[in-house]
Amino acid sequence: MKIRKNLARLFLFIATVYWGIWLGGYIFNALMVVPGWSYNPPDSILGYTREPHFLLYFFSAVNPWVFLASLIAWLLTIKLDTGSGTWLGRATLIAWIMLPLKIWMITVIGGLFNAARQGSFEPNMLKTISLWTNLNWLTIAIAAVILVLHLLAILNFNNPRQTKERIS
Amino acid sequence: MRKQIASFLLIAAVVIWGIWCGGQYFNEARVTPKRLSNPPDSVVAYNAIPMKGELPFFFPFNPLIFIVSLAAAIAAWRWARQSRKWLALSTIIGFCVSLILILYLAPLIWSIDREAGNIPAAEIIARADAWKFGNRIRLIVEMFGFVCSIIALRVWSMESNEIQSVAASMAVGNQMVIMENTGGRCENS
Repeated sequence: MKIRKNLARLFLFIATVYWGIWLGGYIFNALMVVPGWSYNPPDSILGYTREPHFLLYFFSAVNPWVFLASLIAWLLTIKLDTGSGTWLGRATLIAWIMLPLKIWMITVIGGLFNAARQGSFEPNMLKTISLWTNLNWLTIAIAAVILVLHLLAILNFNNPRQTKERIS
Repeated sequence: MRKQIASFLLIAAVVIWGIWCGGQYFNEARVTPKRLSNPPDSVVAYNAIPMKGELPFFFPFNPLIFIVSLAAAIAAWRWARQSRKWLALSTIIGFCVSLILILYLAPLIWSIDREAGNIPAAEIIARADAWKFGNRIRLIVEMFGFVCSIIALRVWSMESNEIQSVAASMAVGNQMVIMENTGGRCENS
């Protein structure tokens, strides 16, 4: 049980680091990068995607793992007498509810960038970009809540689980 | 009440550190390779990209990593024992990172932006290389600062719980002594 508790603590730590990086990266993207490629599509998209020279990855480096780290951390806390399970459960539930939206957004943005590159960008796609930008801010707000829930889980890790018997 | 404020500030410090490090990592992964891929031409081309609704990232978050870490350290110090070193480390790193950005890295990148195309390309390339090297060192130090802030929260929560339970058991012990001395009558002041 001690190994399980240490593993739960480790994965909670990893998930927290991942969610912090995820949140910061997406805020930076929304503030400093999205305004560049969404200014005058498709020309601005073509300008953004020209000569990328990327050495490190961001989106593929954080997106699958952030959700998995939270899930593993929560699963490890299930049988432990720790107050962090409730907070982690909430965080993981919200994250996995957000996941289909995130996958849809990644698919949509990939389609828009491909359309701009292949010259098949249509004027009605501007509405999709506007919707995507708003949803991007929504996911950022949700990620901020998820990060805070992870931190509350860290804060309550050494507290005993709040059972009905203990509350009464 | 003060303990709740300390908890809130410790959480806020980790959130700010996370946002800052995530933003810097994104900058290093997605923006710098494009902006400084072939200076000075790539710098001129990047700066010519028009923006719609761009908002600042560096200014609001950079001083906050130090200010919020300092506030959290001050508020949490009373209950801290082993976590003091982590609280101090994250605050000191926040201070150093803010100072290095203000005194060295920001003026250097501004000079690259301002003078690209106006001074010899070799000079811009040298400055860009110096900035990229400095930025990577800073990113590594910042990641350590972020990790320190999480460790500070974890260790502090453990210690403050222990102190609270010791205080609670001492209070129960005192109550029992009072009850024994007063023959079972307990007077709540």
